[in-house]
Amino acid sequence: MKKCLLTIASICAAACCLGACNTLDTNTTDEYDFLNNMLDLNYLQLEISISETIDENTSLHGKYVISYSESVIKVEYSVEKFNEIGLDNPSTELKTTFNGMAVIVNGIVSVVGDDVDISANIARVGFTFKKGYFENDVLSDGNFKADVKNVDSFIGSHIVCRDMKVAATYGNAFSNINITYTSETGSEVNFIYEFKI
Amino acid sequence: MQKVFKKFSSILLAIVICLGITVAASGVTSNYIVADAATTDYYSPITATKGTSLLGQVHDLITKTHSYYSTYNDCKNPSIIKETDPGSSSSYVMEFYSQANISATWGSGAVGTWNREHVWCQSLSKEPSGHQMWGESGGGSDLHHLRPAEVRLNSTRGNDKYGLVSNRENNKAYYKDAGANNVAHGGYSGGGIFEPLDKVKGDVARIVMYVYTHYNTYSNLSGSTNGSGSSGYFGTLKFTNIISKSSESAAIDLLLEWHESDPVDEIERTRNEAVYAIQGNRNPFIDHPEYAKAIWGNGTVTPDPSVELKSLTISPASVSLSVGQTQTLSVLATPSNASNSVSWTTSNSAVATVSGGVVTAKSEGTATITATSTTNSTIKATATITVSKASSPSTGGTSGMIKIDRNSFSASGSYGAHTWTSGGVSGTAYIYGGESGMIQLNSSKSSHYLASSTATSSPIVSVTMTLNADKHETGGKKWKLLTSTSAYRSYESGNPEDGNNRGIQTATKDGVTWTISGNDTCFALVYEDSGACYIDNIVLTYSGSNVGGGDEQHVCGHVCDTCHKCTDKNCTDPVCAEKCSGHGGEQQPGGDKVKLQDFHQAVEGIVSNGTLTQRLESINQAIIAYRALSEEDKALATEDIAALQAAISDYNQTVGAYNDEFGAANGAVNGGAKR
Repeated sequence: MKKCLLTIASICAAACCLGACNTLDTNTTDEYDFLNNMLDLNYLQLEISISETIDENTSLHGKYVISYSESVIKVEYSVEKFNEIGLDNPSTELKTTFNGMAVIVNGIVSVVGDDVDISANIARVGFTFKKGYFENDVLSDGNFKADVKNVDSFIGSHIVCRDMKVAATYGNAFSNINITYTSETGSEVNFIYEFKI
Repeated sequence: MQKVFKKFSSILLAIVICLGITVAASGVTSNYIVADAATTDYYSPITATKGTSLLGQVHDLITKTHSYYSTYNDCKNPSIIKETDPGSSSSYVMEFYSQANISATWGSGAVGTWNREHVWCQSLSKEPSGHQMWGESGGGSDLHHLRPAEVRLNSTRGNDKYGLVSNRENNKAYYKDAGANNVAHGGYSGGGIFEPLDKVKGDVARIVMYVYTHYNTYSNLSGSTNGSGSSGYFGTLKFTNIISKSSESAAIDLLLEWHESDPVDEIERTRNEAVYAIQGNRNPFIDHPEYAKAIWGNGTVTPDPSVELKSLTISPASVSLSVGQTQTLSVLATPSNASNSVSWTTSNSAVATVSGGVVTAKSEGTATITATSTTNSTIKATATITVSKASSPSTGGTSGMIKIDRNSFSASGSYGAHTWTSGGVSGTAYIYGGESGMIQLNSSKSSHYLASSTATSSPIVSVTMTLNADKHETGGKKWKLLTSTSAYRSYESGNPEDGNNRGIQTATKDGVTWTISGNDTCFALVYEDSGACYIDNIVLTYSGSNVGGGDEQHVCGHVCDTCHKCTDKNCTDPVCAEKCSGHGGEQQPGGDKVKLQDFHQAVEGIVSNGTLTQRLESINQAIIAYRALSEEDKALATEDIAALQAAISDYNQTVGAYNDEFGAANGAVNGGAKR
């Protein structure tokens, strides 16, 4: 078994459930706090699909299936990457797919398969729903959609993009969260989070 | 007086800054050259006179001399804009579309102040792939490109293409003041189109032509470099991106019309000098308006009597003739816009005479033809003429033609070496006997050829192959022609290899012709492509004249060893009417001509602006052809190898950018932390 030890700078203690940490700004309440609270529920499985569409025939795909049990988080992943070529290394294949499985125990990530950077933070969905992060936000029965104007604060990391939109469906827990945006090169990027409780 | 002083100080500043650049650039790299302030010397590298050759050279020049890429902040710096777009006093700069004064102070977007107008809008700088080429750098911050425009007028134009507005008098657009009152008429806006004032149309056209010529990557323009600019600055631009016309040719027509109807004026010359002092490059369509029509119209760069001639070159530089034959010599001037007027002399009129550049071979021997400039008699060029004895004419043989098609065969059954007969000539071909109406061969079979086993009565002059239009509606198939004075045998395995290689050409439904000289009376056509090929017919002509000499056949001094067509574009002999399309010219020592040609064609076929899949496939074909070359061949193919490496680099940069973006997206999934 291939072991890959990663030092994670900020990891909450809960390794068997989705983020036990509460959002910051505990001193203020926000209209969308209930969505943040739904992110903290104990889901059995989370499936994350990512795609970047370059043209009508070409796109990159990534998939992470995260399963939770008592003390172990299992991540099955599949991520594509375009091949670069050279005079001495032609490639007839446009892309290569990297597959494998990561196991996270007590914040330590062990990987079996192709080398892909898997962080222990993948176990928790790092979104923060806050009124001020959105424009044209609409909340209806079990549906939320909005234009994201503060991308980094909402996503929880830095992405260079424009026209980010989010749409979520939920009941007592999330069913899915769908995020789209246009990248710097003009490609359309799509995240789909599907939750099973 | 104030205007004169201001003009003088602008020029003085330009000279001072330019001298500073010259001193600072003493350690220049090979990627850019330092240009002299004199425009004549700046354009001295331009030797072409028209078309894509001229376009490529101009691209190379303005990118190689582009030593400083202005920043977006530079384009809003009032000090800089006062030099590039001066108003009537130091309090003003010139608003582009109205050419009226506007306060020089940067207004940060307030109506009535100026901001940065991208003449070629950012959103219209999209390549066919959808990638937007510029925002606020590269072409998006080039001072030859951006102009100051009033905020409201800039917004009115928005990202509309330039064109002709219907009912324009009812669709006027204005530069407005802070109170949104009209200050000056700045053009016409309607129907998603913006039409500049008549006095600005030429300015717009010359900026558009500059941007197109500079920021199209060199491989699109028959150039050889993008200078020192980041590769991300360059891509594929079309005039239809920015001009509201349905075709490139119509867009070009409109640009040329605007370019001519509104000639270069002092405003543009002032700006050109000021930007040149900052960036190191110039807008060539301001200095040389004739370049526009020479590149995109039917013009030619003509000699300028005030331009100093540096040197002359005669083409061809050496010629072999038989007694009685003639050859026209051309003289090229450097720089190309200097006078090429010369007087001609011969060193030995008994061997060869010359008149008006036309050489006539008189008797056996060698003569030197000299062209002497009539504007500077110290500048000369020479060509060597070698005259051989005239060959005696043929005493026999008739002229004629034979046509070989499926009816020439009595074949049936499966693939095999079947016999054909036509016009008294016979031979064999490895074809599918069961096919009717057309001659079918296939590369997967043990042989794939058609050859003659008996001779024509006179030397073969031409061979034309036409493929079946139904089976080969588009594209073509490669074939090699061999000729010999010896008959070709029948082949059940393998293909003919002996004889004179007359080159590989792509046969199509429209036909392809090999034109040959010599005494060969037998031929073999060898299929050099893949899959099946369906031939409609082959037509072979032969001539009763002695094609090795005499007056009937012009022996040109420059013949391509691959296709045996004339490589001298200036040769006007009717026999040399068909020119070589570019196989590297004459016989060169060493090298496998077939593999070199295959490699060259593969490099020419590289897709630069299609989908990633198309680009990858075309590059892989070129890499495969490259890897088939010997080390000796590679030394002969340096330009093609450089072009292939550039294409690989561009491709890797493109996919690298996508990989980085996708990596960032995956990183966001991985690294999201509750805040």
